[in-house]
Amino acid sequence: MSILHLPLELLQDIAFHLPTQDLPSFALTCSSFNRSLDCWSLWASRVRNDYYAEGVSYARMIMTHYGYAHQRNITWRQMYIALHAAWNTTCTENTWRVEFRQNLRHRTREHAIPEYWVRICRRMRVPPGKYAVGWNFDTTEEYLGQVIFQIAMDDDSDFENTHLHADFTTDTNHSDETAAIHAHSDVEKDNVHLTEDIAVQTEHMKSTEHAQPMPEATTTTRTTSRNGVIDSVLLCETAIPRALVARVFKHTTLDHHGTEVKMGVINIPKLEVEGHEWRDITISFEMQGGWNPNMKLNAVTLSPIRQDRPVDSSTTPEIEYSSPLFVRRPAERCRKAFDSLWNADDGGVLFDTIADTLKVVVGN
Amino acid sequence: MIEDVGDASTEIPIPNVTANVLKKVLEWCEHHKGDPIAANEDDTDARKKSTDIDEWDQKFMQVDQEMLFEIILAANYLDIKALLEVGCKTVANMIKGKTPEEIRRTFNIQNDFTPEEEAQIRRENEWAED
Repeated sequence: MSILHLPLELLQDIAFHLPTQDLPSFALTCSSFNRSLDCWSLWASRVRNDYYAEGVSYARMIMTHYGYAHQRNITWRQMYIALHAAWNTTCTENTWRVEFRQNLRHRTREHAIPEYWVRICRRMRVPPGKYAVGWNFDTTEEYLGQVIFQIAMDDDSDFENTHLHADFTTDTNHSDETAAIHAHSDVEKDNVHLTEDIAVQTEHMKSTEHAQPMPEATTTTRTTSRNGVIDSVLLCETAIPRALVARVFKHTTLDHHGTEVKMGVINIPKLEVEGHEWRDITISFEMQGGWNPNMKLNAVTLSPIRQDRPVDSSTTPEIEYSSPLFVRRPAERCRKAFDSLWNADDGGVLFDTIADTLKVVVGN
Repeated sequence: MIEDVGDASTEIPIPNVTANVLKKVLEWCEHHKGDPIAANEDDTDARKKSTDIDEWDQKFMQVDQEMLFEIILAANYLDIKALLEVGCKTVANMIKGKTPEEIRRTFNIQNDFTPEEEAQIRRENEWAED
């Protein structure tokens, strides 16, 4: 009598009790052990145990609702590996951390069924000073969703004399139609704790050189501040097939290349502590939208502004500061496994675009 | 099992369980006869995540491998879930932290993979190396 006399289901029972990191060794022991790991309930429970409800929710969505398991022969074992790759990316100096959320807190359109919610963030260390902040993204007319962009200082201190505006421009199918929305507010340090729910509503749409008037778009900009965090929220919704809801938190500029967002200017104060000249900030995006998001984040820019010059990031010397999402070598291997599941269309869009195209540019 | 048979006077055949093993199983059952029964699936799941074994059970399972696997098979056949769990946890503890080669040595298993198969499995499991 040896362990190999145990039936497959008992080997699976043993595997259930093994920590996940021991499963590869278990698999490599012999073919019977390896076969015993082809057990959906084992990996489904690992997804739940290791990635909680977010993992289950996400995996179930893919495995069932979209029939990917059938179409692409994705197993729960592969699903676990894919999730591992995504989650294991830590928020270190040069990486973006990807997280999923179970609950869609920011659902804003009843008819829009948010199919994913991904949050990515990274920390940066930057010298004090004024920065023009912006980011840009491409989207297509199928896109329905929202993006929340936020910058916050890690020590919860405030940006001083921050000049907030949300400037959002969108082009439709490369036509000359342009919807430009601009809202603007100044927030000073002394009153940032009191300016909650100051709302500025702007309904504004401009059409140029095009016979068909654009459907009406509604933009709401709201500036709030609480506990030293300034939130500038821009909502833009149009009735055209591409409906876009963008939320911009904290001090932002929204521009469109497809869509580019210039968020405004932040002023990162200098700390009066010797040896702590640079400040840590965290930049995050939350994206929420349909399954096929057709949403591509291109770059986040923090362009230093000299006091005697207007904001003009194009003339500001910039150096590339960051790198793609999965930069750690082991994670890079994970990513290969991940890509093998998610390459090309549909589900691959979200992760491929994040991984390949996000970068942060900061001036020196 | 008794419920399945129905008639209390009917003999219950347990051809897969030797007397020595049955004796051990009965010893375990006697010790645990007052234990509460697992309430729900979540509890079961939580137990499965753990490889903690209480002290008495650890000593109980200090048997040679042949007996250990016989106990596991008997617990499975007799549908004694808690004993099966202790047995599987014991085996899992013997595997934890070991390399494939160490596991093979522990259980006297031959590597039956072809080099190609082994390379393939290694590639598939690179994710766990970070």
